[in-house]
Formats: sequence, structure tokens, C-alpha cells
Amino acid sequence: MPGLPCPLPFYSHPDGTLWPAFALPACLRVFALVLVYTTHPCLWVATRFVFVPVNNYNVRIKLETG
Amino acid sequence: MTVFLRLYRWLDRHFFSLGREFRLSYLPPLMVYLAAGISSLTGIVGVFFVKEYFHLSAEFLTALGFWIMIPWVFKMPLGHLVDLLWRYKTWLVYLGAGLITTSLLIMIGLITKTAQMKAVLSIEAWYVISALLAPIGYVIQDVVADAMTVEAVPALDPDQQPYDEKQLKSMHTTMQTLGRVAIISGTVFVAVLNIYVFSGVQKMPESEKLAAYTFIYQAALLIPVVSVLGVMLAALLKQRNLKLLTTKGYTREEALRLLSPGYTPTQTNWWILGGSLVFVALTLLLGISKIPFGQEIIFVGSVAIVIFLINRLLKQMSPYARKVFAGTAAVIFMFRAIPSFGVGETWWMIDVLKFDQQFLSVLSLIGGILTLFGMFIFRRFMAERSIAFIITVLTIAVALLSLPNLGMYYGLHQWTSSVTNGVVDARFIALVDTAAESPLSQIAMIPMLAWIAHSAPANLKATFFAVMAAFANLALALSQLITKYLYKAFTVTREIKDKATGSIKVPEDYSELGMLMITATLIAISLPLTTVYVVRRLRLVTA
Repeated sequence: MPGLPCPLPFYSHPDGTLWPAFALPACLRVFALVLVYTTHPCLWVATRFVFVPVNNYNVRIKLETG
Repeated sequence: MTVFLRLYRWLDRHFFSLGREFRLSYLPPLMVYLAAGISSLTGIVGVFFVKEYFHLSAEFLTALGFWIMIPWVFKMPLGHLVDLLWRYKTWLVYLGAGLITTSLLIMIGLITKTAQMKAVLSIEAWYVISALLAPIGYVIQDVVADAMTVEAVPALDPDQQPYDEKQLKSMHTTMQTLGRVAIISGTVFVAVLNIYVFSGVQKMPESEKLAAYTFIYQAALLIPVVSVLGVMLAALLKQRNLKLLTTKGYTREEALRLLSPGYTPTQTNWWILGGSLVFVALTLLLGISKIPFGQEIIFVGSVAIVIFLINRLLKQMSPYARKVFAGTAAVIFMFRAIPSFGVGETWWMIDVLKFDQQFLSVLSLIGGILTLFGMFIFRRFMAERSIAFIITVLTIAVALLSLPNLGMYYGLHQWTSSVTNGVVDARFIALVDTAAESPLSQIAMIPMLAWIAHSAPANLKATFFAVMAAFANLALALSQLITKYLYKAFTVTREIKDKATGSIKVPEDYSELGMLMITATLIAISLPLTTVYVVRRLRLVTA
């Protein structure tokens, strides 16, 4: 997702794919990519809009005590 | 086996199987729970609206916060009342829905017809009435929904043969998992709706802002409708099942007995009713009077009352069931009583790690979504393993996952940042840690709820759930007490400046936070594991 506010540095590979800009063994690189691509939609929503965390006593007490 | 086949099987086992195991009878309580989840819809708008238009003092709102909590203290006597009036449960949900609707209509009136409302009562009075009616409505509906989850799991298969223990445990786990999914999905839906309605709220003209607030309250009128539809569906399903059985040749009485085996009309248990009312009185009295050691007195008094009530309920169970009860309750109580790192950790994250509110919101959003995910992933694990095993695994996992935060206090993020060219910084570690930790947050709750539903006597379902909720609440109270004592033993202070002069009144001091975190982690490991060991030694059993 190029152009998003992003905490990780990337570079565009000549084949058009996006890679983290640090040298890592292949398996770690795959892990980093999975992590980045799974957390990014959440980050995108949260940084694009002001997300107000749900702070409601009814729901909290229900979830915490059953 | 190919990777794809394995992936498919994994998805099938954890996600798709839920579709096959879903029963129509699960839907009514789920709808009431969903309504509870969406109830947070008005939480955010309420805060903004109250702040901008009512000019109520922080002290007034804090006092109101205490009173809003009170209906939940009434859950125990209400639970018994619901059991006594079980035949009229539909009407109780209607009553809850009516209270919620009235509360919402008052708020809509305050926004759109302020002058007319003010002519009758002061705005503060209207707001207090509205703020108190809603939680009373939610508690009534919640107590009924809890008991409905017990009834939703059939005791007999389509051939009228009883299900075995393993099947029943699995069905109860699925039911309770879906209950949590319904509540959390409701909150996620609300978050999305709020994002949509309030995008660009700062730039909105006053009239548009009021229209947005009104829209949220009008949309919230759907909440009581969802819960009412839930109980109507339950009544329809019961009629359908009765009809099916009567066409098979059973009389109406026989059919009713088959649908709710073991059910006999509930007799008033004055010990339970009286005991739970003493519990309410104790909480109210000590909450209002600010006597020294109030929290400790409430805790000890409440533990005594709740244990007394549990003892009364246990009399209705077999000796083996009592053994299971004692073992399970002890293990879960101690796991939920473990201390947290407390508010000092958040202060330190904001002041030292420079996490802002937005980043903390990101963490909470990711946490919420992954909690949902975790409940699906661990559903089998929760259904198939004993609670002692689950708690042991969770204790170790929670302790391991607290290590990165502890490490960051001692500079872990500086080291990882230097060796990874700034990639693995404090935010990266916090993000990954939250992602790993949050799926576990409900894992201890679901087996407990499934076990409560499974072992609740047929005519004391709501009472059993309510007493156990009070028990779980006491474990959280103990956790807060232990955390409070940790903060007494270690000094952690945030900088406080004098607003007028700008001089520092209290200097920032996080030097003892590290030791506090280490102590909390050690208690968090030893408390549940020791309890599991003691339970095993005493030859008690866990569910």
C-alpha cells in the first residue's frame, strides 16, 4: 500500500513489488511482509480517521465479568 | 499434503466448522448480546455532547459514573428474580427495551427540543434520568440473555437421546464464544459507524453537528429493537419445537419437559435474595462513605457474601460437581486476580516512549480486532482442554508477552533499533506485542462461561450466572488491590505542573517502575501456577 503513513521504510523493487528496506534472510523478510500487510489496514483506518476507543461501562463490565 | 490443503483444513477446523455447528436456537441470546455491544454507540457522542452543551462539572460526571455502575451490582438479586419470573422472560426483555428507549428519547429530546424539555425539568435532571435508565435496561436484558444461553444448547439430540458430556461442553463453548463475538462485533460496528458519522466533525457547522448527534441517538433506537426481535424469535422457535414434538405423538406437557429437561419452577430462595441484597447495600454504603480501607472492607465483605451464596447454590449439586466447582473457581479466580502494570506503564509510554493518544488508539483497535480472531483460533483449544491446562498455558504466555514491555524499560528498543536501522523501534515492539497478546484476552473467560452454563441448575440459570459474574468481578477487584499495593511499595510519579506559575509541583520519577513490573510479573506467574498445583494436590478437579 504505497503512499500510506507507514512506520517502516520500504523500497520499490524493479518488478513493482514493495519490500522492507533492510537486509534480512528470506524467511524473516516474508514474516516482516506478512506483519506489515496484516497490520497496515488497521493502521490505515486508525491514522486516516480519529478513532475513539470504545469506552463504555456496560460493554466493559460485561466483557470482563461475564 | 500440500500447503494449501493444510491451510484449508486449518481454516475449516477453526472458522468454517463454526458455520456447521451453529444452531438457530443460539440466535436469540446472540441478538440480545449484539444489542449490548451496539449500546456503546451513544457512549462517544454522549461524551462530546455533554462536554459541549451541558457544561456539567467533572466532579458531577465522576459522581454520576459511580451511580451508572450500580445497576450492575444488582445483577445477583435481579438474576434470582429472573429465575423466579422465567416464564415471563420475554416481558422482562421488553421492560429492558422500554427503559433503553426512554433513555434514548430523552437524549433526542434534549438535542432537538431543548427549550421544551427545560420547561419541565432542568437539563442536569433529564441527563441523570437518561444516564441511569439505560444501564438498568441493559442489566435486565443481560441477565435474561445469560440464562437464555443455557437454554439455547439442547440437552437431547434429534432422536431425543441425551448428548454426551464432551458434546455438551463443545456446544456450550461454541455458544459462549459466539456470545462474546456478538458483543465485540457490536462494538466494532459502532466504531466504524462513528468513524463514518464523525469524519470531519471539527469543521462541521453547529447545525450539522447537532444533526449528527441526533442521527446517532436515532440510530441507537435500533438497539432495543434488536433485543426484542431476539426474544420474539426465541418464542417462535419454542412454539415450532413444541409443534414438532406434539406431531410426533407427545403431549404438550411431555414436550415441554423434553425441551427443558430437569426444569422445575423456581422457588424463592430467601438466602440468595437476602444475601445478594446485603451485598448491594454493602457496596452502596461503603461506596458513598469514604471511610479508610473502604475498598478492602468492600472486598472482604463481598467475598464472604459471594462465597456464602455459592455455598447455597452448591447444595443443589452432586458431590463430584462441587469438587469440580471448587477447583475451577479457585484456578480462574487466581488467574484473574493477577496484578497489572497499572497506570504508571501508560504514563511512562506517553512521557518516555512518546506514544501519543492516537498510537494508543491504534493499539486498542488492533487489540479489539485480534481478540475476535483469537476467539475463533482458540475455540477448539478451549473446548477440548481442561481449565487447569488452559490457565497454565495462558499464565506462561501472558508472562512471556509482558517481557518485551519490561525489556523496553531497560532499553531493549534502543538496542533493537540500532541493529535494525531504526525499524524495530519502541512502537514496532509495542505493536507486535499487542498483536500477540490481545487474542488471549477472552480465552480465560469463555471456558469459565461455558462451564457455568453447563453446570447451572435448570431452574437457577440466571442466579448462577449472576453470582459467578460477581465472583469474577471480585477477582478483578483483588487484581486492582494488589496493583494498588504495588504502587504503594514502589514510587512511580508523573510530572505535575502548577497551571498558574508553570513550576513543577511533583517531579517525574519512573526509576522504580522496572522493579514494579518485575514484581507484578513474578506474582502473575506464581499466583495461578501455585493455585493449579494446590488444586491438583487437594485432588480437586477442574472442568
